[in-house]
Amino acid sequence: MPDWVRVARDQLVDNASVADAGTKGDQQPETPPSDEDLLAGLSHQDQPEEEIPEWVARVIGLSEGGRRSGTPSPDVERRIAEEAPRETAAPRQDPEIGGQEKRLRDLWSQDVDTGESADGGTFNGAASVENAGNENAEINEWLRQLDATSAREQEPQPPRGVPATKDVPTWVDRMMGVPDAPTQGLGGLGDALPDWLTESAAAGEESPGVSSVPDGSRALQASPPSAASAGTIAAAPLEASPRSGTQAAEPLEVVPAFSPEEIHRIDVDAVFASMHMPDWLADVGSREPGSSPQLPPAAQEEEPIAPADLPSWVEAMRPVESAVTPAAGGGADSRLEDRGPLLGLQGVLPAIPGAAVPSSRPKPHSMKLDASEQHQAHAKLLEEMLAAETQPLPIQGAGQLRSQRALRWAISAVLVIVLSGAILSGSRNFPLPAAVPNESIAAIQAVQSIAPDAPVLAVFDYEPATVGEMEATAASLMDHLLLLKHPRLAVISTSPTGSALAERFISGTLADRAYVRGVQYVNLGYLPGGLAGVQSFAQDPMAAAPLGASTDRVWDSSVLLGTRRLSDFAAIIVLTESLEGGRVWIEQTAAARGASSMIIVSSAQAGPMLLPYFDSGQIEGLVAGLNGAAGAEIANNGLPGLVRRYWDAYSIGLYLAVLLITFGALWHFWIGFHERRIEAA
Amino acid sequence: MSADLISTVTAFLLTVMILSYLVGDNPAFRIAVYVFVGVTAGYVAAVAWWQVLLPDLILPLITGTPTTRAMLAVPLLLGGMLLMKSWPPLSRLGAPAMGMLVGAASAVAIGGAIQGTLFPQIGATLESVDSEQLGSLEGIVNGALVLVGVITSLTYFHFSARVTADGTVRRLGAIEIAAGIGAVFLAITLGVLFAGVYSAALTALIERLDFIGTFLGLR
Repeated sequence: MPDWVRVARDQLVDNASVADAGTKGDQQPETPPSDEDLLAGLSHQDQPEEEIPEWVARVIGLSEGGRRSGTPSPDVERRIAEEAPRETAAPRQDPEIGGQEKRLRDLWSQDVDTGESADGGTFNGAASVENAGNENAEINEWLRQLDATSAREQEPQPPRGVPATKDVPTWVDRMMGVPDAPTQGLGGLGDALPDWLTESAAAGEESPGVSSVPDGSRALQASPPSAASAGTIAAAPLEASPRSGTQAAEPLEVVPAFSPEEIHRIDVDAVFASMHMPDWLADVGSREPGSSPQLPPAAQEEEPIAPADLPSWVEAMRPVESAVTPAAGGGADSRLEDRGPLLGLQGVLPAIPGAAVPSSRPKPHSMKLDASEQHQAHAKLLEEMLAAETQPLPIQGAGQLRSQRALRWAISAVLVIVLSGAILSGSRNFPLPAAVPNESIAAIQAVQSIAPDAPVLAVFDYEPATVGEMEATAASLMDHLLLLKHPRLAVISTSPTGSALAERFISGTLADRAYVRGVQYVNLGYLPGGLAGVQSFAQDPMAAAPLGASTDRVWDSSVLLGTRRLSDFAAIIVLTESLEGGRVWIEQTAAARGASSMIIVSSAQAGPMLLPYFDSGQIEGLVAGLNGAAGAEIANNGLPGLVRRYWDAYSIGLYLAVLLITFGALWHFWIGFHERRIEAA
Repeated sequence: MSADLISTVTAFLLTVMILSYLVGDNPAFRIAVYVFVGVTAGYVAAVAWWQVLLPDLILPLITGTPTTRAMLAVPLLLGGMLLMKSWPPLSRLGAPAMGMLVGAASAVAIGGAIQGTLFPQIGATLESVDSEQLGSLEGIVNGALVLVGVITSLTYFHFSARVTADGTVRRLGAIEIAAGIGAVFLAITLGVLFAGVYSAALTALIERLDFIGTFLGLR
């Protein structure tokens, strides 16, 4: 046990003995002073404040302002004197209580004058009240609340034995179910009075005399003029409130609220029994020789305070810094949370031992790359490539795009205007070529070699987009054929649109020949299957194309009379705008063609690629483009005249293209030469 | 209004719309293109039905003999499997039909190319230097150009090369020279092809301008 606790206890026991001597006649039989009250007389100990917890200091009567001062404030004395007559005028004033009030007032005056108390322990509790009353605001507050105590009779009261003081942590108050109002009902004394004094009042609530006292003044009157009356002063209003009303009108037996022993032992023990005491204080009580293993009488009489069952999260959030031992909480638990939902709480999250210190040092890794010079060269090259990729490229200027668009418009305008002028004017300034290509001459000779009224197969393998060129190219040769030989014509196409183009060509371009479908010619329609279809047709024409374009039996008609195989045709004329179209018929019909001659009429773009087949003798003639058709038209006496009609425009267009290409080449050459000269300069 | 006039007016409008592309892409040009694509697709579908499916498949299956029907069951089955290519869950069923198409077409094309192009063209090249044609200067020059042109052009497509001492990659000297000469022949050939393409396009433009002038009565 600390020395200061021992000294304080001895002093308190001595003071209690003195008080007992003065009040024994008026009080109930006294209980012998006991040494079990360890905190008795703690108010007189002179230990440094920093060694005493705040709540303990308040229990022993040490206030914030003057814990050592036992002198009540004159202002408080004056206010009490002013309140006393008014309170004594209450209609339910008990004579016994009046006598006690008088004695208490005498004792109060004596204590104030002397500054000392006969039983300094309890008086110091009152002195603490007085010291707290140095603040006028507090005194006024509790005095007003004393008046209002009778009006709050129905308000819930704290359970008996529960200390209603702010010295005990708030959470303890809430666990005990003690509302704040009763504490305030003490007339502001709750802030200054020790809790055990309030507790003692609760223990003595069975006393009807005390209970009937409506306010603090009456409590002062009802209390014996002993040092313990200071505790009664504070406790009386607390217990008087529920007893007012109808019970106050009944004759009551005046019984002293508390004896000094109760104040010193029962109440204090009850207070500490209901509180979580520090370990050091609990140990002191348990090791006190001669102490009773039983609870104090107050605790025995009252219902035991059962610890509340708090939810775990509430338990975890309790401000338990005073209860947590340094060993459990650790030194790092005192950290104040400054963020999050735990803002303002201290030591809630225990520090994890060893968390702040890394368990092991990370293994060092070598950052040196084993790269050869070649690798470094490649890396450098890659880096340069990436750097080049990230460099912005200059955007092509809009002016250049505009110039290109303008150039395109200019070339288009020149072509359209020049060609339109040449066509619309009916110019015949450019003569047809005198030198007819050999392949064209061979084609004309092949046509002229066809027997009259012989079956001839005409293959229309071109698309509608090239109708203008193909009809102009094939018109003279076909007209020459029809005009001279009057062949029985059979048309077929490997293009879905070919049969329609054939009808257009015969009924349009060759309209002068007046060929009638079904009489002079038949339309075998569309030959599906591409080159496989061509091969199938070469092997068996009747099986590959059994019906005509109109699903008529063309092979039974007079046009194809006696024609059953491919070799039965006198000639095969293929009209195509592409190399593929001509080559398929050349390749796939080579074996089945027999003595039939094959003539190719092609577009100008396919002519150069088909010319080797003429040179190799695989075809008997080739007419490619307007240049090749010119010879056929010459041979046909200028009929039907399409080549001649287009020839001037065609020639002007060729010259115009030559001029434009030459001018463009010279322009770019000049620009390049100029730029190089500027760079050289 | 006769059908010829309607078709002529339509052709004129479509021609103008197509020629409007000379000033840049515009809605009129796009409409004309869409019309052509749509009309062509519709016409091709009609042709395929009326000239292929109906006379060559449907009618024989209905009116043909059992043998004919059995023979047509194979293309009918393969055609149906080929249609499954347009349905992703069953697109694998179209693989056999597609494989048959590719195989048959490749066989036909390769056989035709060998017999119709490769051998005849090699023989024609060899004949270009025939003793009969070398009797005249023209024959000698022509034969020499054909021979040199064919050899050098084929050499141009020989890309095997070696790394020289200075790190550069080069072909052998003789091959390099022959490839250079072949490049000249190829350039001339490409020039001829370009001229042919330009000539074909020019002829088509002229025909259209003539049509417009005729339609407008300017000619």
